[in-house]
Amino acid sequence: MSLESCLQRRDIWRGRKAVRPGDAVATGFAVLDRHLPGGGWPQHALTEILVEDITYSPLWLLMPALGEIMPARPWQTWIAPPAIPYPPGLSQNGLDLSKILMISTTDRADILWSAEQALRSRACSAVLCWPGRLPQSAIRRLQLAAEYGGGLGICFQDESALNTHSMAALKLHCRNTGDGVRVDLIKCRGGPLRQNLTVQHPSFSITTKKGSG
Amino acid sequence: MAQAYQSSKSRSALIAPGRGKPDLAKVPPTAPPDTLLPAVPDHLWLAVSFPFLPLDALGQAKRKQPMAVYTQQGQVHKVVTPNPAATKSGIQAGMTLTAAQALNPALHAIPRDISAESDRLQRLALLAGNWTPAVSIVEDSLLLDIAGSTRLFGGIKQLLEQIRLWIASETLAPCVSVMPTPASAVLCARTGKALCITAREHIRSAIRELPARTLITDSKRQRALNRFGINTLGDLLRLPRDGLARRLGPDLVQRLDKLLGQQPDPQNAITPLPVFRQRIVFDAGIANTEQLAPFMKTLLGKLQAHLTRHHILAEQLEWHLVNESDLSHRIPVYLTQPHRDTVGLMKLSRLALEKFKTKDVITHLVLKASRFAPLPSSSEDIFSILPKAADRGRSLVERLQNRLGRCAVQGLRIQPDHRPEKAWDRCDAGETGALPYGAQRPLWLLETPRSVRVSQGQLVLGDQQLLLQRQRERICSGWWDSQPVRRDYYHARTAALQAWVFRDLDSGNWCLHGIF
Repeated sequence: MSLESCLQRRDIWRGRKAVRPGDAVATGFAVLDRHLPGGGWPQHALTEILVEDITYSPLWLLMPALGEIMPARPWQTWIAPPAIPYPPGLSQNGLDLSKILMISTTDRADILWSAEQALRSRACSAVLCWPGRLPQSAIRRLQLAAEYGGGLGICFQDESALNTHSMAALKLHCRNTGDGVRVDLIKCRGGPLRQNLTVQHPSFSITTKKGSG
Repeated sequence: MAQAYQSSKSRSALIAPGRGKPDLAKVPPTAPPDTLLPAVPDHLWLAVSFPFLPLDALGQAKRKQPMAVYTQQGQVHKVVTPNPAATKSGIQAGMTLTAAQALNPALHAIPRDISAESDRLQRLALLAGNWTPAVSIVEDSLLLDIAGSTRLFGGIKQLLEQIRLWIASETLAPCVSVMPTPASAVLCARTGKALCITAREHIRSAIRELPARTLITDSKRQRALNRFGINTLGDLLRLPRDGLARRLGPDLVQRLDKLLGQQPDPQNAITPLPVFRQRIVFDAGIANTEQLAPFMKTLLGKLQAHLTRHHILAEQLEWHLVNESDLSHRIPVYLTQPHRDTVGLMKLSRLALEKFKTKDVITHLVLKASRFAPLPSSSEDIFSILPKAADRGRSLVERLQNRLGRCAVQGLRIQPDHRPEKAWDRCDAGETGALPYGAQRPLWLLETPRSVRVSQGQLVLGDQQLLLQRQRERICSGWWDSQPVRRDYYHARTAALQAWVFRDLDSGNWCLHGIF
């Protein structure tokens, strides 16, 4: 195996600088962009987001990035969301609704199967799924599918997954604060782990600006 | 080109009747031949009527004993078609069945079956494709455009002879008539006039004697005709057109024009649907659906051959798994885009079958395809070896739909409605709806609003206090469809959430409806 072919592989860890520039999409939040390797959400990879209450997953954290990568591919797939992703709100946040594919199923096997198909298809700019508790093997499959398909894989889980081992490229824990979330990086391929990154909710930052001005 | 073809046809028509030496020397060499030869029309219509179709459709046309087909009109049964044996004892169409049975107690009466009649006509029309590709069905008659076939079959007479022989072998007492216009051909065949006329100027004299009633079906206008003293079509044709149109309706004049060929009268030639239905019967029943795969492959191979032959693509497939007691399980295969690629169809069929569970033993397998799309004549990019992004997108949707079912894979769109819960719905993936408008909306909407407690003058959600922000949005709408909404919406904050809450103006209750 030559050095060149080693460098081609995505699963060989090469320190922080190794992440290629095109491999991440800016989150739209300065704090996160500064501390995530590559300057944003990793593409070609699975990101696990752990939240306190799965019903109130912080979608706003993803909106700028989802809007950014949307035009590149035909679909953006949402699998088994816990509530209704509200079309008027999504549209106001810059998403093109005609590219959203909603998959509603309650069967865990179906959720995982569709997530893998969607990630692997190279037709999805992003795949968001709410699978419930995931076994290690399933996370590994999704991560491999994302590496093959090249999209942004996002998997929301609750805090019970805090201490489990994960194959995902990025695993973060969001704790709600009054004006946004506090993010801990639990696992971060190609970068140091940071704690307590404070991200402000966009609507809150607008109102404070109004208040100060 | 058309001109040359026509002239060669007309020449052969001139030569054929003589059968002797064609006397072409008499034609003056200076004159162009076309001007001297009688023009054979572009279209020549042959109509076949089937007076005993209701009997024939039930397979009873050639019985010797008295029989009649009847239909129910209101409370009475009326005779539609008696057979010749029944007619002999005085039974006529339009009689009540009791009257007919009084005339001949041995009469065997059968109820009419309209769908069998149309099936029978369809089958005859397909067989008539032997003589010409342009076959159409006009109510209860067949209409064939034979102008293009006369030369092939050696002239009109020979062709007519052959068609008469065939149709007489198929059914009882058919009437065949050849005329230059479709309407006149059908009219003559229906009234039992077996004519063979090729020139338009002879139509008028041919139909002059036919009763005028044949053109008008409703009794009111038939009575009007009687009052005018008009009995034949000849009488009708003699009348001034504008007066006729005023008294009996403009459609009658149009029908007369169509009879004489003074108005275009296009016909829809029927094209047989290339329905595909093939089955494999297993020697021993199959209990495990996995074992069906090789047979499915065989059937899909046959389907592909069928599609290639007809230059079409399949739009929908359906598998039928039939068990020992002849009950069949139908498994549709959803295609978002017409296909004819066997490998892709096989993958989708496997996905569709994956979810299917049965304990039955399958005795035979049927593949059905009845919806097709024409093969698009597009040219491919020489460098497009890799599948395009759009193709990948379609195939993803197909795979998901076939495993999860159609309604599990959908798109979202905005509906123009002020009520938050009605301002959206699900649609086919890729469809677009209205554009967003108005004030800021949340990213999550709760399917059922979660109620918010009021304690000590403060709003409490779970164990967290809700702080309202000043702006209020009043939404009052929907009084017209009995799901009215009268609410004040507020942006609110808890220690953990940016919430969208409302106060119901009727009940005064507070609810959480969305999350930003």
